Amino acid sequence: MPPKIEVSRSEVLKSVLKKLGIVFVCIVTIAGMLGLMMTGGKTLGIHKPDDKDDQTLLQSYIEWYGIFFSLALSFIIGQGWRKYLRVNSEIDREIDALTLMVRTSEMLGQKYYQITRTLVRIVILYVDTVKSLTVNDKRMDGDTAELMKEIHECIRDIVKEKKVSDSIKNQLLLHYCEAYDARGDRFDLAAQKLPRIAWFILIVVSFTWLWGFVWLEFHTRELNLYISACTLGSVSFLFLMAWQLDDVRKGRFRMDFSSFNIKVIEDHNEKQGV
Amino acid sequence: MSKVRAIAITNEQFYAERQRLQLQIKQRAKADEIERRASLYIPFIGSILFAVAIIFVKFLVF
Repeated sequence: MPPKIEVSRSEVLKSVLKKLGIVFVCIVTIAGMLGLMMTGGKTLGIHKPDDKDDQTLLQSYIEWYGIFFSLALSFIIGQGWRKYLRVNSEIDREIDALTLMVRTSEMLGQKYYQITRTLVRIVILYVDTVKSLTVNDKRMDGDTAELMKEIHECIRDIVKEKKVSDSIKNQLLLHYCEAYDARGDRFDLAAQKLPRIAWFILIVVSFTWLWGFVWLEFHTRELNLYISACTLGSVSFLFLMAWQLDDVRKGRFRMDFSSFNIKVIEDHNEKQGV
Repeated sequence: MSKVRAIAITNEQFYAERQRLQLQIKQRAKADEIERRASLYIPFIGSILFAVAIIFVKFLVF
């Protein structure tokens, strides 16, 4: 179980206050939309179509457009959720490959103690650096890229040794490649984001659908408020989810490095007296 | 010899580097925890503000 991190309330409050600007803008927009729904667009001087046939047509429009809208939004949320799960599994894959690489290097024996120790220590430094940087890590020109290059050079030195068994060499190379591949996939997935134009289109589509409710004729104001508030609340919540899932580098659904645990490597370290 | 390999070979440098990284990890973990807790409060505050907006609209319209 990871150790509990002590955080003061004032620090959390400061972070919340920094984000309140965005929350305020969102709430003003939602409240404004709610006001429009309750007044039928009269506040903007727009006449509500009160013809019975028009209202029937509007109801059908809300129905079929709602299906299209929910499909579009659920597709984005589904994609974001899959990306969030995949990026975390890539982190697991990377640390598993590194652990196995260290375990395999144990098989080299005392003759290659020096080179094994260097490899283990570089892997430890790599793991620690990744954990200290997490989302601020860089793929090609960062500290971790340099450490990965050093791991590669250690493996290269082992491969050059003629007396080392080919199966150990193969395993070391295999685990190194696996870690390198997982690292690349982690960066690739973290960089994937929905294009800004898609967000713009989604907001326009949402607004078009919600405008149907502005013109919808209600006999009671209570029902108008209930349907308007529920619809706006649901759409806002789904938008929040889609927005949070879009970027795995920040927010509630950011990459989880808790599995990037060096416990196994530390055990090896103690055992070998590294 | 590269800087990384020199650190890995010398005991003092290696442990000093690890200590520095451990400190950074702790700071990062704390920043992440603040961010996590703040992101839990945001939907809660948003919901309260939304409820206030509904009440406001209700009194304005009814």
